[in-house]
Amino acid sequence: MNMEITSINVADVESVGVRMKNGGYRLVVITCTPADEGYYITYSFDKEFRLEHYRVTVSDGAAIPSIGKSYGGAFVYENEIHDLYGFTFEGMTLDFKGTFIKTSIPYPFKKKEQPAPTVTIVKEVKE
Amino acid sequence: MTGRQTIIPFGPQHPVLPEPIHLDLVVEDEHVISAIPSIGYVHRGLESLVDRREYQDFVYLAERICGICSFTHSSTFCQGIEGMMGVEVPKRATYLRTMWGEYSRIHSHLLWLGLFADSLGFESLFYQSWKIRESILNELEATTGGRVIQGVCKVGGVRRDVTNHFLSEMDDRLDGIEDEMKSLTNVFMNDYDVKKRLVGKGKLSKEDAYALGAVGPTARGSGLYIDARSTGYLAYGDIGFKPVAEKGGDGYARCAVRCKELFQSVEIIRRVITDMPEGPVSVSVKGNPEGEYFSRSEQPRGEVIHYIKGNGTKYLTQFRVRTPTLANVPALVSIIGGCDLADVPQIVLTIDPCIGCMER
Repeated sequence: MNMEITSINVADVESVGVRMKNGGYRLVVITCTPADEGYYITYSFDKEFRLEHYRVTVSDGAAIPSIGKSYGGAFVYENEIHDLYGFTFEGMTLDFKGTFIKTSIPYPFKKKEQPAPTVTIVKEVKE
Repeated sequence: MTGRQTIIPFGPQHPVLPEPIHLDLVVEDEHVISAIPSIGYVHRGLESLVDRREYQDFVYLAERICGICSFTHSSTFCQGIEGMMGVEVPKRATYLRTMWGEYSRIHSHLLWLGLFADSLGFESLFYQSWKIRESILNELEATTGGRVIQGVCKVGGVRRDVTNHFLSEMDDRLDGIEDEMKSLTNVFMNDYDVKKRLVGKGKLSKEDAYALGAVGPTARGSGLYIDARSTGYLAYGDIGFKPVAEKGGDGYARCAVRCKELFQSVEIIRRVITDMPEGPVSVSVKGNPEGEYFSRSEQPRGEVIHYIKGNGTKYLTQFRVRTPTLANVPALVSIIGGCDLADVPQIVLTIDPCIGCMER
């Protein structure tokens, strides 16, 4: 299984979508993964049973361009990532505005906030 | 046409839907203009449990994503972990996994044929489909101990072996099952009423199927040879595999693909039984998975993807499943637009939606 992942910038997402579409690739899945800093959003494409992955690193609540213009079926993955992680995809072909997957709490897969470390600040007293 | 549009809610509770999905049907008179899907009625958040279960135990949870494709979910998950850890699974185990995967495909397709007949009110056909399905479930129960949830797959192989004597008995029983399936599929392919509800309904062109990311019999019914088994995972590389496809693009073509795949699965099982290698059925797995892996297999409904990420501990950090039904939702929305309102239930069924699977 091909696991080479190419890193791209958020600004290039749309153009990668166009390039893959023109190259005859099928959109397989868009995956969101929490990373050490922020999140990875991985676009997986297939052509002749070979997977190609493109990844963007985004911070919490970022806006990402939709690839809906190239792949009409991308709306299911983009709406799902929006509803589970809280990212906004700009220009989706079908925007459910947070109602595609109805969850009891908003963005359940979003990283839990870490409790702030208890810090005791000791001021140096100058005589 | 009056030119006046109305929205008719379809589901989440509907006689043809075994599981809940909601569609807002925008209609003009009796003509559907568009459909807006809505899911989330059975979202269980199974994926989020991955960091609270050891990866070896998570196989049981992966298997419970779906009650029909349960075996393929467990084998796809194990395949992902094995791929990440570089575990070489014994050949006999891969052949047994292939055999059980194909039995699962037959039981899933027979289940669908029965449900479709039921949606038409063709009750005797429904009973007949499920009667044959019982024979398949009996084989699964005899060899794995479970009818629907088998619990037989594990990281490194399978839990149970099947004796060669029993395998040859299974091979003999396939003759009778095949004869019964021939009579059954003859009705689906040639009966006037069934054809009336399928031919020309829910047309999906080859180009649209590809552009919308359709998979499984939905894609193959439109002439696309998309089948993950062509990648040669498990024993498919050894025995050789060529996908079944139909060019019609309508409900009838999707039904024909499933009917033909019943016999293709029987052939695969026969070949697997004949070529079954001797040897152990599992290896011990030491250590913990580290890295990430996209594992894919062909479920009865189409290609499934398991994305797995590990950090070197016994708990995985990420698990994400893309099921075939989710990939087929855009195609469903496309084929409903332009159909007659009375055809919507049957058209929805032709993609063989599995909502529990889709929502995880």
